[in-house]
Amino acid sequence: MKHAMMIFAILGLAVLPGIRSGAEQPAQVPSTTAAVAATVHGTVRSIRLPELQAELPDGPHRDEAVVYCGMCHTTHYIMIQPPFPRQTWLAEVTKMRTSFNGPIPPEKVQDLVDYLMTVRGAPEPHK
Amino acid sequence: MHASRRLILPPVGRREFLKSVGVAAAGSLGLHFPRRLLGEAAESGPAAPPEFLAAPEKVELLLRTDRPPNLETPLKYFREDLTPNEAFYVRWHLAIVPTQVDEAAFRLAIAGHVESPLSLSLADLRRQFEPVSVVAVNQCSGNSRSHFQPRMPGVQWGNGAIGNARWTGVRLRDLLAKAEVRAKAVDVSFNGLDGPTLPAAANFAGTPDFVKSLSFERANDGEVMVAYEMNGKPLPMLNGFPLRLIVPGWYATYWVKSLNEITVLDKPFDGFWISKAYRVPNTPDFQESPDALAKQTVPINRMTVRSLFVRPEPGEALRAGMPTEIEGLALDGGKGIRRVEVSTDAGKTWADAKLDRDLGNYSWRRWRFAWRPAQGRYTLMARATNAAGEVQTHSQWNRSGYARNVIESLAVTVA
Repeated sequence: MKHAMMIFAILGLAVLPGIRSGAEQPAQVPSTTAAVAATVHGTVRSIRLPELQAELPDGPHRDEAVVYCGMCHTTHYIMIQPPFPRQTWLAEVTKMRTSFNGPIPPEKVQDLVDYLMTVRGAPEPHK
Repeated sequence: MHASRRLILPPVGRREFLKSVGVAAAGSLGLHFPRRLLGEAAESGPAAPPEFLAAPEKVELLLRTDRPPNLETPLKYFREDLTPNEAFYVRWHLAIVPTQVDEAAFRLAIAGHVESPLSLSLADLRRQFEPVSVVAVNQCSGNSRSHFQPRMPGVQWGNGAIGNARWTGVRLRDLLAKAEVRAKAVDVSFNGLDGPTLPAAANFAGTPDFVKSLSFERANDGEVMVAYEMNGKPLPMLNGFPLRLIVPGWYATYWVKSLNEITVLDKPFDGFWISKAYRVPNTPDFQESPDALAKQTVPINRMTVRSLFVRPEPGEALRAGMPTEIEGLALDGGKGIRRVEVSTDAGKTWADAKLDRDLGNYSWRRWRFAWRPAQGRYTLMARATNAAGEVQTHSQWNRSGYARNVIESLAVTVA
Protein backbone atom coordinates (compact mmCIF):
# COMPACT_ATOMS: atom_id res chain seq x y z
CA MET A 1 0.00 0.00 0.00
CA LYS A 2 1.53 3.26 -1.04
CA HIS A 3 1.07 6.18 1.28
CA ALA A 4 0.85 9.66 -0.16
CA MET A 5 4.19 11.34 -0.77
CA MET A 6 4.64 14.53 1.18
CA ILE A 7 4.19 17.54 -1.11
CA PHE A 8 4.46 21.13 0.00
CA ALA A 9 2.58 23.63 -2.11
CA ILE A 10 4.07 27.01 -2.83
CA LEU A 11 1.28 28.68 -0.88
CA GLY A 12 2.52 26.94 2.21
CA LEU A 13 -0.35 24.61 2.81
CA ALA A 14 1.19 21.72 4.66
CA VAL A 15 -0.09 18.35 3.54
CA LEU A 16 0.01 15.65 6.18
CA PRO A 17 3.12 13.50 5.92
CA GLY A 18 2.94 10.01 4.47
CA ILE A 19 4.89 7.55 6.53
CA ARG A 20 6.75 5.05 4.40
CA SER A 21 8.94 2.21 5.45
CA GLY A 22 12.60 2.34 4.45
CA ALA A 23 12.92 -1.36 3.62
CA GLU A 24 11.81 -1.36 0.00
CA GLN A 25 13.25 -3.07 -3.03
CA PRO A 26 15.69 -0.58 -4.52
CA ALA A 27 14.56 0.80 -7.86
CA GLN A 28 16.82 0.25 -10.84
CA VAL A 29 16.93 3.95 -11.77
CA PRO A 30 15.86 6.07 -8.83
CA SER A 31 13.82 9.13 -9.68
CA THR A 32 15.61 12.46 -9.60
CA THR A 33 12.55 14.57 -10.22
CA ALA A 34 11.93 16.90 -7.32
CA ALA A 35 8.32 17.10 -6.21
CA VAL A 36 8.42 20.86 -5.67
CA ALA A 37 10.60 23.32 -7.54
CA ALA A 38 11.94 26.62 -6.29
CA THR A 39 9.91 29.66 -7.27
CA VAL A 40 11.65 32.22 -9.41
CA HIS A 41 10.24 35.75 -9.80
CA GLY A 42 12.66 37.89 -11.74
CA THR A 43 15.98 37.50 -9.92
CA VAL A 44 14.44 36.28 -6.67
CA ARG A 45 14.59 32.56 -6.01
CA SER A 46 12.60 31.18 -3.10
CA ILE A 47 11.39 28.01 -1.49
CA ARG A 48 8.78 27.29 1.15
CA LEU A 49 10.22 25.15 3.90
CA PRO A 50 8.02 22.35 5.17
CA GLU A 51 7.18 22.29 8.86
CA LEU A 52 5.74 19.16 10.30
CA GLN A 53 3.39 18.68 13.19
CA ALA A 54 5.87 17.36 15.72
CA GLU A 55 3.95 15.66 18.47
CA LEU A 56 5.41 14.58 21.73
CA PRO A 57 3.99 11.64 23.65
CA ASP A 58 2.14 12.29 26.87
CA GLY A 59 4.11 12.47 30.09
CA PRO A 60 4.85 14.69 33.09
CA HIS A 61 5.99 18.16 32.01
CA ARG A 62 5.22 17.47 28.36
CA ASP A 63 3.93 21.03 27.96
CA GLU A 64 7.23 22.47 29.18
CA ALA A 65 9.11 20.30 26.67
CA VAL A 66 6.86 21.53 23.85
CA VAL A 67 7.55 25.14 24.79
CA TYR A 68 11.16 25.18 25.89
CA CYS A 69 12.45 22.65 23.37
CA GLY A 70 10.11 23.52 20.52
CA MET A 71 10.92 27.19 20.80
CA CYS A 72 14.15 26.82 18.78
CA HIS A 73 13.80 23.56 16.88
CA THR A 74 11.49 20.68 16.20
CA THR A 75 10.80 18.47 19.20
CA HIS A 76 11.34 15.61 16.76
CA TYR A 77 14.99 15.94 17.85
CA ILE A 78 13.91 14.22 21.06
CA MET A 79 12.06 11.37 19.41
CA ILE A 80 14.89 10.43 17.03
CA GLN A 81 17.26 9.79 19.95
CA PRO A 82 17.76 6.33 21.43
CA PRO A 83 17.19 5.95 25.18
CA PHE A 84 19.80 7.70 27.32
CA PRO A 85 20.49 7.72 31.06
CA ARG A 86 19.59 10.70 33.19
CA GLN A 87 23.13 12.12 33.26
CA THR A 88 23.15 12.29 29.45
CA TRP A 89 19.80 14.06 29.27
CA LEU A 90 20.85 16.49 31.99
CA ALA A 91 23.99 17.27 29.97
CA GLU A 92 21.88 17.90 26.87
CA VAL A 93 19.46 20.26 28.62
CA THR A 94 22.41 22.04 30.23
CA LYS A 95 24.03 22.42 26.81
CA MET A 96 20.86 23.99 25.48
CA ARG A 97 20.88 26.48 28.37
CA THR A 98 24.57 27.31 28.54
CA SER A 99 25.98 26.78 25.04
CA PHE A 100 22.96 27.80 23.02
CA ASN A 101 21.47 30.21 25.59
CA GLY A 102 18.05 28.61 25.44
CA PRO A 103 15.88 30.58 27.86
CA ILE A 104 15.20 27.66 30.20
CA PRO A 105 14.77 28.77 33.80
CA PRO A 106 16.99 26.78 36.19
CA GLU A 107 13.93 25.52 38.08
CA LYS A 108 12.61 23.93 34.89
CA VAL A 109 15.71 21.86 34.15
CA GLN A 110 14.77 18.81 36.24
CA ASP A 111 11.20 18.92 34.92
CA LEU A 112 12.52 18.75 31.37
CA VAL A 113 14.91 15.94 32.27
CA ASP A 114 12.03 14.09 33.92
CA TYR A 115 10.07 14.30 30.69
CA LEU A 116 13.00 13.19 28.57
CA MET A 117 13.52 10.22 30.88
CA THR A 118 9.85 9.32 30.52
CA VAL A 119 9.97 9.20 26.73
CA ARG A 120 13.62 8.36 26.05
CA GLY A 121 15.10 7.23 29.35
CA ALA A 122 17.56 4.39 29.94
CA PRO A 123 18.95 3.02 33.19
CA GLU A 124 22.32 4.34 34.35
CA PRO A 125 25.11 2.31 32.75
CA HIS A 126 26.70 -0.25 35.05
CA LYS A 127 30.50 -0.22 35.30
CA MET B 1 -3.43 12.40 11.28
CA HIS B 2 -6.56 13.94 12.77
CA ALA B 3 -7.67 17.52 12.39
CA SER B 4 -7.64 18.00 16.13
CA ARG B 5 -3.84 17.71 16.15
CA ARG B 6 -2.97 21.28 15.47
CA LEU B 7 0.31 22.91 14.75
CA ILE B 8 2.17 23.59 17.95
CA LEU B 9 2.82 27.24 17.20
CA PRO B 10 1.34 28.98 14.17
CA PRO B 11 4.19 29.64 11.70
CA VAL B 12 3.10 33.20 10.95
CA GLY B 13 3.21 34.25 14.54
CA ARG B 14 6.26 32.18 15.43
CA ARG B 15 8.97 34.75 14.83
CA GLU B 16 7.19 37.46 16.77
CA PHE B 17 6.42 35.10 19.60
CA LEU B 18 9.95 33.81 19.74
CA LYS B 19 11.46 37.28 19.67
CA SER B 20 9.31 38.32 22.59
CA VAL B 21 10.34 35.22 24.50
CA GLY B 22 13.98 35.80 23.69
CA VAL B 23 13.97 39.33 25.01
CA ALA B 24 12.16 38.24 28.15
CA ALA B 25 14.64 35.48 28.79
CA ALA B 26 16.61 37.25 31.48
CA GLY B 27 14.42 35.84 34.22
CA SER B 28 11.80 33.21 34.72
CA LEU B 29 9.31 33.24 31.91
CA GLY B 30 6.21 32.36 33.90
CA LEU B 31 4.45 31.51 30.68
CA HIS B 32 1.08 29.88 30.47
CA PHE B 33 0.07 28.26 27.26
CA PRO B 34 -3.47 27.50 26.27
CA ARG B 35 -3.97 23.80 25.71
CA ARG B 36 -5.10 24.45 22.13
CA LEU B 37 -1.61 25.67 21.23
CA LEU B 38 0.07 22.60 22.66
CA GLY B 39 -1.72 19.95 20.66
CA GLU B 40 -2.94 16.54 21.60
CA ALA B 41 -0.47 14.00 22.92
CA ALA B 42 0.71 11.40 20.43
CA GLU B 43 1.04 7.73 21.24
CA SER B 44 4.26 6.88 23.06
CA GLY B 45 6.38 3.98 21.97
CA PRO B 46 9.64 3.15 20.25
CA ALA B 47 10.99 5.58 17.64
CA ALA B 48 9.00 5.35 14.40
CA PRO B 49 10.69 3.89 11.31
CA PRO B 50 12.25 6.50 9.01
CA GLU B 51 9.82 8.78 7.33
CA PHE B 52 10.47 10.28 3.91
CA LEU B 53 10.17 13.98 3.21
CA ALA B 54 10.15 15.63 -0.23
CA ALA B 55 11.50 19.10 0.49
CA PRO B 56 11.64 21.84 -2.16
CA GLU B 57 14.03 20.98 -5.02
CA LYS B 58 14.52 17.52 -3.52
CA VAL B 59 13.31 14.02 -4.10
CA GLU B 60 12.08 12.05 -1.11
CA LEU B 61 14.87 11.92 1.44
CA LEU B 62 15.02 10.23 4.81
CA LEU B 63 13.66 12.64 7.40
CA ARG B 64 15.83 13.17 10.45
CA THR B 65 14.49 16.60 11.42
CA ASP B 66 12.47 19.26 9.64
CA ARG B 67 13.16 22.38 11.71
CA PRO B 68 15.91 22.91 10.84
CA PRO B 69 15.95 20.44 7.96
CA ASN B 70 18.27 17.46 8.27
CA LEU B 71 17.54 15.05 5.44
CA GLU B 72 19.50 11.94 4.52
CA THR B 73 20.09 10.41 1.08
CA PRO B 74 18.78 6.88 0.49
CA LEU B 75 21.62 4.51 -0.46
CA LYS B 76 20.22 3.84 -3.93
CA TYR B 77 21.42 7.28 -5.07
CA PHE B 78 25.03 6.26 -4.41
CA ARG B 79 25.15 3.96 -7.43
CA GLU B 80 26.33 6.88 -9.56
CA ASP B 81 29.66 8.68 -9.42
CA LEU B 82 27.96 12.04 -8.91
CA THR B 83 25.08 12.39 -6.48
CA PRO B 84 22.13 14.16 -8.17
CA ASN B 85 21.46 17.60 -6.72
CA GLU B 86 17.87 16.58 -6.01
CA ALA B 87 19.07 13.66 -3.89
CA PHE B 88 21.96 15.38 -2.11
CA TYR B 89 21.60 15.27 1.65
CA VAL B 90 20.59 18.36 3.62
CA ARG B 91 22.00 19.50 6.94
CA TRP B 92 21.41 22.76 8.80
CA HIS B 93 22.28 23.60 12.40
CA LEU B 94 20.02 26.57 13.00
CA ALA B 95 16.34 26.90 12.28
CA ILE B 96 16.42 30.22 10.39
CA VAL B 97 17.41 28.72 7.05
CA PRO B 98 17.61 31.00 4.00
CA THR B 99 14.57 30.46 1.83
CA GLN B 100 14.77 33.46 -0.44
CA VAL B 101 17.72 34.95 -2.30
CA ASP B 102 17.75 37.79 -4.81
CA GLU B 103 20.52 36.78 -7.20
CA ALA B 104 20.96 40.33 -8.44
CA ALA B 105 21.17 41.91 -4.99
CA PHE B 106 23.27 39.20 -3.32
CA ARG B 107 26.81 40.21 -2.34
CA LEU B 108 29.76 38.24 -1.03
CA ALA B 109 31.70 40.45 1.39
CA ILE B 110 35.43 39.95 1.93
CA ALA B 111 36.67 42.12 4.75
CA GLY B 112 38.80 42.29 7.89
CA HIS B 113 42.59 42.22 7.79
CA VAL B 114 42.73 43.26 4.12
CA GLU B 115 43.76 46.35 2.19
CA SER B 116 40.85 46.25 -0.26
CA PRO B 117 37.57 44.98 1.19
CA LEU B 118 35.36 43.54 -1.54
CA SER B 119 31.64 43.33 -2.13
CA LEU B 120 31.17 40.94 -5.05
CA SER B 121 28.00 40.12 -6.90
CA LEU B 122 27.44 36.70 -8.41
CA ALA B 123 28.10 38.23 -11.83
CA ASP B 124 31.39 39.66 -10.51
CA LEU B 125 32.45 36.20 -9.34
CA ARG B 126 31.74 34.70 -12.74
CA ARG B 127 33.34 37.51 -14.75
CA GLN B 128 36.32 38.63 -12.69
CA PHE B 129 37.78 35.32 -11.52
CA GLU B 130 38.97 32.21 -13.28
CA PRO B 131 36.45 29.40 -12.87
CA VAL B 132 37.74 26.13 -11.48
CA SER B 133 36.09 22.78 -10.86
CA VAL B 134 36.79 19.88 -8.54
CA VAL B 135 34.98 16.64 -7.91
CA ALA B 136 34.90 16.37 -4.15
CA VAL B 137 33.02 14.25 -1.67
CA ASN B 138 31.10 16.10 1.03
CA GLN B 139 30.59 14.05 4.18
CA CYS B 140 28.90 15.26 7.32
CA SER B 141 31.11 15.04 10.41
CA GLY B 142 28.34 13.07 12.07
CA ASN B 143 27.61 10.73 9.16
CA SER B 144 26.78 7.25 10.48
CA ARG B 145 26.47 8.49 14.08
CA SER B 146 23.59 6.13 14.78
CA HIS B 147 25.91 3.13 14.24
CA PHE B 148 28.29 3.93 17.10
CA GLN B 149 28.05 1.81 20.24
CA PRO B 150 27.53 3.11 22.81
CA ARG B 151 25.25 5.69 21.21
CA MET B 152 25.41 9.44 21.74
CA PRO B 153 22.94 12.31 21.30
CA GLY B 154 22.83 14.23 18.04
CA VAL B 155 21.29 13.91 14.61
CA GLN B 156 20.92 10.14 14.26
CA TRP B 157 22.31 9.76 10.76
CA GLY B 158 22.63 6.43 8.99
CA ASN B 159 25.28 6.26 6.25
CA GLY B 160 23.60 8.71 3.90
CA ALA B 161 24.86 12.10 5.10
CA ILE B 162 27.35 12.13 2.26
CA GLY B 163 27.44 13.00 -1.44
CA ASN B 164 29.84 13.42 -4.33
CA ALA B 165 29.62 16.33 -6.75
CA ARG B 166 31.50 18.41 -9.25
CA TRP B 167 31.82 21.85 -7.69
CA THR B 168 32.48 24.87 -9.90
CA GLY B 169 33.43 28.31 -8.69
CA VAL B 170 36.47 30.39 -7.84
CA ARG B 171 39.55 29.74 -5.75
CA LEU B 172 39.38 31.39 -2.35
CA ARG B 173 43.03 32.24 -2.89
CA ASP B 174 42.09 34.39 -5.90
CA LEU B 175 39.48 36.24 -3.86
CA LEU B 176 41.94 36.83 -1.03
CA ALA B 177 44.55 38.06 -3.50
CA LYS B 178 42.14 40.63 -4.90
CA ALA B 179 41.32 41.77 -1.36
CA GLU B 180 45.05 42.21 -0.71
CA VAL B 181 45.42 40.44 2.59
CA ARG B 182 47.65 42.29 5.03
CA ALA B 183 50.72 40.70 6.61
CA LYS B 184 50.35 38.33 9.56
CA ALA B 185 46.88 37.04 8.73
CA VAL B 186 46.10 34.16 11.09
CA ASP B 187 42.59 32.84 10.42
CA VAL B 188 39.72 33.37 7.98
CA SER B 189 36.13 33.09 9.17
CA PHE B 190 33.12 32.17 7.05
CA ASN B 191 29.51 33.12 7.70
CA GLY B 192 26.35 32.33 5.77
CA LEU B 193 22.81 33.60 5.58
CA ASP B 194 21.43 31.14 8.13
CA GLY B 195 20.91 32.15 11.73
CA PRO B 196 19.49 30.99 15.04
CA THR B 197 15.88 31.21 16.11
CA LEU B 198 17.06 33.24 19.09
CA PRO B 199 19.79 35.60 17.97
CA ALA B 200 21.55 38.01 20.31
CA ALA B 201 19.38 40.89 21.48
CA ALA B 202 19.43 43.46 24.27
CA ASN B 203 20.17 41.67 27.57
CA PHE B 204 20.32 38.32 25.77
CA ALA B 205 23.44 36.56 24.55
CA GLY B 206 21.61 34.52 21.94
CA THR B 207 22.41 31.23 20.29
CA PRO B 208 25.82 31.40 18.57
CA ASP B 209 25.50 31.99 14.83
CA PHE B 210 27.02 29.26 12.65
CA VAL B 211 30.42 30.64 11.70
CA LYS B 212 33.44 28.44 10.87
CA SER B 213 37.07 29.29 10.28
CA LEU B 214 40.18 27.95 8.62
CA SER B 215 43.78 28.89 9.19
CA PHE B 216 44.92 31.48 6.66
CA GLU B 217 47.37 28.88 5.34
CA ARG B 218 44.56 26.42 4.58
CA ALA B 219 42.21 29.09 3.25
CA ASN B 220 44.93 30.32 0.88
CA ASP B 221 46.16 26.94 -0.35
CA GLY B 222 44.50 27.16 -3.75
CA GLU B 223 42.24 24.17 -3.16
CA VAL B 224 39.59 25.80 -1.00
CA MET B 225 36.90 27.20 -3.30
CA VAL B 226 33.76 29.27 -3.30
CA ALA B 227 31.34 27.31 -5.47
CA TYR B 228 28.40 28.70 -7.43
CA GLU B 229 27.59 25.50 -9.23
CA MET B 230 27.01 21.91 -8.17
CA ASN B 231 27.08 19.30 -10.94
CA GLY B 232 26.82 22.08 -13.50
CA LYS B 233 23.69 23.65 -12.00
CA PRO B 234 22.97 26.32 -9.39
CA LEU B 235 23.06 24.92 -5.88
CA PRO B 236 19.73 23.84 -4.45
CA MET B 237 18.56 26.34 -1.83
CA LEU B 238 18.84 23.63 0.81
CA ASN B 239 22.47 22.95 -0.15
CA GLY B 240 23.50 26.60 0.14
CA PHE B 241 22.33 28.59 -2.90
CA PRO B 242 23.89 30.80 -4.20
CA LEU B 243 27.39 30.08 -2.85
CA ARG B 244 29.06 27.63 -0.56
CA LEU B 245 32.60 27.05 0.61
CA ILE B 246 34.30 23.89 -0.68
CA VAL B 247 37.07 22.49 1.52
CA PRO B 248 38.21 19.38 -0.36
CA GLY B 249 39.19 16.47 1.84
CA TRP B 250 37.78 17.98 5.05
CA TYR B 251 34.51 17.17 6.77
CA ALA B 252 31.49 19.10 5.59
CA THR B 253 31.13 21.29 8.69
CA TYR B 254 33.59 23.67 7.01
CA TRP B 255 31.68 23.82 3.74
CA VAL B 256 29.66 26.84 4.87
CA LYS B 257 26.41 27.21 2.97
CA SER B 258 24.80 30.40 1.70
CA LEU B 259 28.25 31.93 2.18
CA ASN B 260 28.10 35.72 2.23
CA GLU B 261 30.85 36.90 4.59
CA ILE B 262 34.55 36.07 4.49
CA THR B 263 36.58 37.82 7.17
CA VAL B 264 40.35 37.70 7.39
CA LEU B 265 41.60 37.87 10.98
CA ASP B 266 44.93 38.74 12.55
CA LYS B 267 44.24 36.53 15.55
CA PRO B 268 42.77 33.06 16.06
CA PHE B 269 39.01 32.78 15.61
CA ASP B 270 37.33 31.44 18.74
CA GLY B 271 33.69 31.23 17.73
CA PHE B 272 31.55 28.56 19.39
CA TRP B 273 31.25 26.33 16.35
CA ILE B 274 35.00 25.80 16.10
CA SER B 275 36.25 26.21 19.65
CA LYS B 276 33.51 24.28 21.49
CA ALA B 277 31.57 22.31 18.89
CA TYR B 278 33.00 19.88 16.34
CA ARG B 279 35.90 18.85 18.57
CA VAL B 280 37.51 15.44 18.18
CA PRO B 281 40.16 13.60 20.21
CA ASN B 282 43.68 14.61 19.28
CA THR B 283 44.46 10.98 18.41
CA PRO B 284 44.76 8.90 15.22
CA ASP B 285 41.34 8.18 13.70
CA PHE B 286 39.91 10.61 16.30
CA GLN B 287 39.58 7.65 18.64
CA GLU B 288 38.80 7.52 22.36
CA SER B 289 36.77 5.27 24.63
CA PRO B 290 33.93 6.07 27.03
CA ASP B 291 36.06 5.06 30.02
CA ALA B 292 39.15 6.88 28.77
CA LEU B 293 38.13 10.12 27.10
CA ALA B 294 40.90 12.02 25.36
CA LYS B 295 42.37 14.84 27.42
CA GLN B 296 42.95 17.02 24.37
CA THR B 297 40.57 17.80 21.57
CA VAL B 298 41.09 19.62 18.29
CA PRO B 299 38.68 20.94 15.67
CA ILE B 300 37.65 18.13 13.33
CA ASN B 301 39.57 18.39 10.09
CA ARG B 302 40.69 16.01 7.33
CA MET B 303 38.52 12.99 6.53
CA THR B 304 39.84 9.58 7.51
CA VAL B 305 39.84 6.65 5.11
CA ARG B 306 36.57 4.72 5.00
CA SER B 307 34.36 2.59 2.81
CA LEU B 308 30.60 2.11 2.77
CA PHE B 309 28.29 -0.55 1.32
CA VAL B 310 25.77 0.66 -1.23
CA ARG B 311 24.45 -2.72 -2.41
CA PRO B 312 23.01 -4.95 -1.22
CA GLU B 313 20.93 -2.63 0.94
CA PRO B 314 20.06 -3.74 4.47
CA GLY B 315 17.11 -6.10 4.17
CA GLU B 316 17.49 -6.56 0.42
CA ALA B 317 16.49 -10.06 -0.69
CA LEU B 318 19.19 -12.02 -2.55
CA ARG B 319 18.63 -15.28 -4.44
CA ALA B 320 20.93 -18.26 -4.01
CA GLY B 321 23.02 -19.09 -7.05
CA MET B 322 22.32 -15.76 -8.75
CA PRO B 323 25.34 -13.59 -9.59
CA THR B 324 25.14 -10.41 -7.63
CA GLU B 325 27.39 -7.42 -7.43
CA ILE B 326 28.35 -6.01 -4.06
CA GLU B 327 28.77 -2.26 -4.58
CA GLY B 328 30.18 0.46 -2.43
CA LEU B 329 32.20 3.60 -2.18
CA ALA B 330 35.47 4.55 -0.55
CA LEU B 331 37.01 7.88 0.36
CA ASP B 332 39.71 9.57 2.36
CA GLY B 333 41.03 13.07 2.99
CA GLY B 334 42.61 13.55 -0.42
CA LYS B 335 45.46 11.10 -0.89
CA GLY B 336 43.38 8.74 -2.99
CA ILE B 337 42.16 5.18 -2.57
CA ARG B 338 44.68 2.42 -3.30
CA ARG B 339 42.49 -0.64 -2.70
CA VAL B 340 39.23 -1.86 -1.26
CA GLU B 341 39.02 -5.40 0.06
CA VAL B 342 35.80 -7.27 0.65
CA SER B 343 35.08 -10.21 2.92
CA THR B 344 31.96 -12.36 2.67
CA ASP B 345 32.85 -14.46 5.72
CA ALA B 346 32.91 -11.90 8.53
CA GLY B 347 36.55 -10.98 8.02
CA LYS B 348 38.19 -14.41 7.83
CA THR B 349 39.23 -13.99 4.20
CA TRP B 350 39.50 -10.91 2.01
CA ALA B 351 39.72 -10.28 -1.73
CA ASP B 352 40.15 -7.12 -3.76
CA ALA B 353 37.16 -5.27 -5.12
CA LYS B 354 37.32 -3.71 -8.56
CA LEU B 355 37.66 0.07 -8.34
CA ASP B 356 35.57 2.25 -10.63
CA ARG B 357 37.05 5.19 -12.51
CA ASP B 358 39.21 7.67 -10.68
CA LEU B 359 37.66 11.15 -10.59
CA GLY B 360 40.50 12.69 -8.59
CA ASN B 361 41.78 12.35 -5.07
CA TYR B 362 39.00 14.41 -3.50
CA SER B 363 36.23 12.41 -5.15
CA TRP B 364 34.95 9.24 -3.60
CA ARG B 365 35.91 6.06 -5.45
CA ARG B 366 33.18 3.58 -6.20
CA TRP B 367 33.92 -0.14 -6.19
CA ARG B 368 32.24 -3.44 -7.01
CA PHE B 369 32.74 -7.10 -6.10
CA ALA B 370 31.24 -10.02 -7.97
CA TRP B 371 29.57 -12.62 -5.75
CA ARG B 372 27.50 -15.70 -6.37
CA PRO B 373 26.39 -16.86 -2.95
CA ALA B 374 24.82 -20.15 -1.94
CA GLN B 375 21.86 -20.09 0.39
CA GLY B 376 22.70 -18.91 3.88
CA ARG B 377 23.50 -15.97 6.12
CA TYR B 378 26.62 -13.94 5.55
CA THR B 379 28.44 -11.03 7.14
CA LEU B 380 29.99 -8.81 4.50
CA MET B 381 32.82 -6.46 5.34
CA ALA B 382 34.70 -3.84 3.33
CA ARG B 383 38.12 -2.41 4.13
CA ALA B 384 39.68 0.55 2.28
CA THR B 385 43.35 1.49 2.15
CA ASN B 386 44.47 4.88 0.86
CA ALA B 387 47.57 5.79 -1.12
CA ALA B 388 49.47 6.53 2.10
CA GLY B 389 48.80 3.02 3.39
CA GLU B 390 46.23 4.18 5.95
CA VAL B 391 43.61 1.51 6.47
CA GLN B 392 40.31 1.28 8.32
CA THR B 393 40.22 -0.29 11.77
CA HIS B 394 37.77 -2.66 13.42
CA SER B 395 36.96 -0.46 16.39
CA GLN B 396 36.42 3.26 16.65
CA TRP B 397 34.45 5.63 18.87
CA ASN B 398 34.40 9.19 20.16
CA ARG B 399 32.03 10.98 22.48
CA SER B 400 30.33 13.17 19.87
CA GLY B 401 29.91 10.52 17.18
CA TYR B 402 32.14 12.17 14.58
CA ALA B 403 34.33 10.87 11.77
CA ARG B 404 33.04 7.31 11.80
CA ASN B 405 35.35 5.17 9.65
CA VAL B 406 35.26 1.73 11.23
CA ILE B 407 35.15 -1.32 8.93
CA GLU B 408 31.49 -1.84 8.04
CA SER B 409 29.66 -5.10 8.61
CA LEU B 410 26.58 -5.91 6.58
CA ALA B 411 24.40 -8.89 7.47
CA VAL B 412 22.94 -10.54 4.36
CA THR B 413 20.46 -13.39 3.99
CA VAL B 414 20.52 -15.36 0.73
CA ALA B 415 17.36 -17.38 0.21
